[in-house]
Amino acid sequence: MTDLREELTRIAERAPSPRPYDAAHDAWRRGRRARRRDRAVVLGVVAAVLVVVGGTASLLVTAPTRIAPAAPVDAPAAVPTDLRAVPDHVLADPAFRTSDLAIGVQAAAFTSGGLPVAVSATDGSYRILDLPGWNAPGGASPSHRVALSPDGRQLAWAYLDPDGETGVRTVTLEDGTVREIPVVPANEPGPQQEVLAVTWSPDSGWLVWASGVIETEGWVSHGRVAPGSSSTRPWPARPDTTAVLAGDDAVRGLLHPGHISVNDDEARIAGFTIQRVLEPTPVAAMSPDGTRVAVGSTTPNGAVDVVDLNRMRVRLAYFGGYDEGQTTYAPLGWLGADTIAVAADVASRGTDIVLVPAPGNRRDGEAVVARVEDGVADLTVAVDLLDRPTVDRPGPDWPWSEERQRLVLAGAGLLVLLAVAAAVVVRRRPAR
Amino acid sequence: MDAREAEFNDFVASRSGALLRTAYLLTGDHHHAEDLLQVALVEAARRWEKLDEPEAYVRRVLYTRNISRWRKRHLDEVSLLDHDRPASSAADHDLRLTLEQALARLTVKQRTILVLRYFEDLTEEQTGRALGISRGTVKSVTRQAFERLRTRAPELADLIGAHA
Repeated sequence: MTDLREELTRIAERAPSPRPYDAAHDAWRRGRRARRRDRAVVLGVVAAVLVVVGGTASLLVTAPTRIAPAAPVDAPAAVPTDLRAVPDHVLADPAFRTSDLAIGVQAAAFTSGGLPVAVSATDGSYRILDLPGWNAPGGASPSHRVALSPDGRQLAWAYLDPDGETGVRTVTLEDGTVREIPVVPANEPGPQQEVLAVTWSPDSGWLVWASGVIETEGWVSHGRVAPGSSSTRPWPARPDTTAVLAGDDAVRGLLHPGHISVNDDEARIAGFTIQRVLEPTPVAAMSPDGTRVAVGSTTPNGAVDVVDLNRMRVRLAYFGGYDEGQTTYAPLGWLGADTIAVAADVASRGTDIVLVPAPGNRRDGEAVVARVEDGVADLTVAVDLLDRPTVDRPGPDWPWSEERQRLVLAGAGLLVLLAVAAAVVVRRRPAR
Repeated sequence: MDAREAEFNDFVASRSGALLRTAYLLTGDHHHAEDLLQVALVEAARRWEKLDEPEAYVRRVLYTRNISRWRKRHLDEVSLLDHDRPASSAADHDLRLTLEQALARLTVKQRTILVLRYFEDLTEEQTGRALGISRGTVKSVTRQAFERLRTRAPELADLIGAHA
């Protein structure tokens, strides 16, 4: 019986004779070329992995722990062309709130997700403010829960302390000095009152506030605060009040549906029924000379109602391009006697800040100076800064959300895996 | 020529004959055997510095590349023996030719395992390790190979009887 191994050996003897030198030389040359290619691939993959890992780490580790300035801090004060809402994940993280209120001149203040936000006039940075006693009352929508003065140097807000004391606090943004104006003392019997509205006079000196118990009694009282004063005298307010007005010379006013009344502490200056105003928004702005009031409204006619208190009549400040569908006009303030700054919220395309000529003054027509992102609520603007062009600031460098971080990590991991897989495939591929 | 290349050349000069015989048994074809050995030598040159046992490495490449090359190219298992067979009176080579023809009708995997087990004298364990398969697979493929040989070439019964 022939052994299988022997037969195989005999078959193998029929193999061709080797061609030693040529074969060896060619194999060596091709092998070394493949080796150089392997090294290049490995170096490339290592470099790519380092770049991906390093880049990802730096993106995650150096993600801003605060909302960094977006422009040089010594830039001239101005209002940015875009006012943006703060993302939810930033609002939710207390680490991004600041109790340091010496933040300099601000261009705008608003609430986002119920928290007060200020936008610097000099560097465009956004700050979520930790205001003492900040309270976002429920119920109706009070105007100007955080009110920036027209010169951008002071901020006012309603406070409600745990002991029930409520009132208005202001801060001088240059040095962070807080002023407190109690309205309702602590432990007052009866339903808890809240300050529902605060607004500044055009010269940034006077404050007017109004308080009430929204659910049961409506608005109850209002009053004015002199520049630098920490006291105020309450006056009655009609329950259906929707907004407060502040004039430069101790003038205070109240807006009601279809009616406006203006007083000083001595007497009633004016009372006027506004037939045209269909749905007053809780915003109104008095001219610096105290003779006219721009009233917020929701109208389809592309105009702001301006009440002339001297002549007892309403005139319309028209502007084009905002008469498409439902538009809400919220006067932000006056630039001198001739121009009104208005936030025009067109349901179909968002909110613009528009400078509108006051009635009887059609010199320049309206101009869109800034855009406001959805999610910005209760906006107040340093109107005095609108006498110069708004500036285009880079968008705020919001820190990444956890979801985005996870996605980036997963993407980086995938890239690394692909790079390593590519290297393995190249290295295992037969040399050519 | 540097020292490593000289070392490589020496290795090729001394071992290529034996390696080519294995390659020939694996492929059953002169040209394929030369090509297969060349591929294995290139791979060895590619990793020459890291090879402790170059011959073992080259042999492993021969086994695995032969299978993967067949998979990639779907080479026809029908043998090219008719083209490669030298003129031979062959009366006393009947058995050898029958075995050679029968081997050509095995799958590459079956043939490779037979070569490793009965020409290279590897154990089932070593064969499995060389091909990256389990010992059980080696065993079952070997059994299948013998069954096929027995079916296709009954005259080899004596030859394979002792192994099957």
